[in-house]
Amino acid sequence: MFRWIWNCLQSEVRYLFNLTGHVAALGVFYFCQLVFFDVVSSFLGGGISKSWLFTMLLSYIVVSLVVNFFSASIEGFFQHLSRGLGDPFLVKPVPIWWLLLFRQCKPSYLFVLVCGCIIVCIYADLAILIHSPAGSALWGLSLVVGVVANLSFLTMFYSLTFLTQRDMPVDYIHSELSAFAIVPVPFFSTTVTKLLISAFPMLVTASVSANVVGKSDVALFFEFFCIVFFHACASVMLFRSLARRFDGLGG
Amino acid sequence: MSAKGAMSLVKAGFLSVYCDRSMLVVDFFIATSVPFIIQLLIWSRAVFPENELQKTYALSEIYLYYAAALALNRLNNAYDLIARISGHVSHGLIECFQVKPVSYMLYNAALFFGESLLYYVPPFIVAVFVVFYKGEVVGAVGFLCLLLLSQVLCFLLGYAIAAFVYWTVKPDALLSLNVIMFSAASGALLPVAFWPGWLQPAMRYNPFRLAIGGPAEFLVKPSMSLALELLSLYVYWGAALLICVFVVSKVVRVKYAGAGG
Repeated sequence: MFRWIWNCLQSEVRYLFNLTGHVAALGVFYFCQLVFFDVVSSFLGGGISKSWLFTMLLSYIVVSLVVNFFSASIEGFFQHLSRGLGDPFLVKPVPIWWLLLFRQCKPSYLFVLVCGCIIVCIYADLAILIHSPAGSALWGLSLVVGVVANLSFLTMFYSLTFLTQRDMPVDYIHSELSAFAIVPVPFFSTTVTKLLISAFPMLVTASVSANVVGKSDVALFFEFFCIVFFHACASVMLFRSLARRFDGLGG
Repeated sequence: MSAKGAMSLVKAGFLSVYCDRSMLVVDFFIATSVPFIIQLLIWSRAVFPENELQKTYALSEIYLYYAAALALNRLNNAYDLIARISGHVSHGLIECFQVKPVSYMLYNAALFFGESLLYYVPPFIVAVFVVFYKGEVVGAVGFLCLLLLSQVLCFLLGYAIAAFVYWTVKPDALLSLNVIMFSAASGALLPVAFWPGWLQPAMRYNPFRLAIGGPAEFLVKPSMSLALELLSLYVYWGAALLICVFVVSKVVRVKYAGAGG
């Protein structure tokens, strides 16, 4: 598995200018979002402090970058399937999930992740994160759960490739929808929040993590955790049941 | 190139977008509305200090700005253009297109305009909305004129960005650069007046603002000085990008091996 990540890294490093440009562009983007939140936070009143907002932004950045690391691989996997090139995957002596998650991953996103975290922490002075060890451990856990929520969404919708047998723009839809995660949860009414958490848990990822740290709202987190667990199980089952029907020809 | 040839290329581009219905639906309903709803949710909670309100935008004007800017963001989208050119270059196919009786730039321009024909609808709806509900004719007409200019500039920008593919070989960096610049530096995230002072010059004079933020600003607050500023910037950046494209094509013609990578 680590061999694959290493190979992916090497294949990215081979096109050095491409890699540097990619990293720089992502850096500019997250920096602009940071400034955007800085500006917006000066207009916002009512129960949302600046540090809470920045914690949310940091959680959002971490989750979206880790998800991007995997999503390139998931996209590539299903592209192979839809072209009818999926059969060689079955010969390999490794679980299919590893192939799905790591075969064509993009380690450059992890590099951006480290840089982005450092920039945000310096810019926003996030001492709140290291306030208590239990809080930061829960924060880390909530990030992992958030990543799982996104990945289960991706797998669930890409699994429809087995039925439709053609390329689906799931990655595009996901990247547009996941931008919802930067809207703080207190902006929605309670019913909408409940609805969102149960239907699309990935949309509230960042706020849940920020709530765990800023307001120590553990109840919301456990609700989130249970629902994400349920979603992940559902996506695995969907993948397996639909994969059995697939004839492997592609469209 | 004859007008008939150009028309057939435009038609081909239009049909290629029209046939891909699933993508079209996603583009119109998710990619345009989601960012708008996000901005709506964020700004609906905003509390403005009194003196700030007079200086910049009122809340309804902010909504209007975002509606126009996000519709423009979908119209002026050079993603397909860059993906196509870089595909030609990195697969070593570009010679096949050089032998066409059409110059490569005009070929791409015709396809680009054909592809974006359908996306004129959302900005047009926004302009009609402004005329009917605000009675603001000058802003709407100016907006529609600037729309055409911004489309030309967007093509030049996309073409210039795509020229870098000779250097980077793979298109990832260029595609993400394109998407990021058009969403972050163009004013689709924040109106120019809202950025902090030290970022103002970079946000005001970059070419991406002309493609998206500029026409939207004119729609919201039409004024003579803004029109002059935008027009002179269009001329400046248009000339600069044209020169850049021609120099690159001269250099590349000598150095490029044509084997692909």
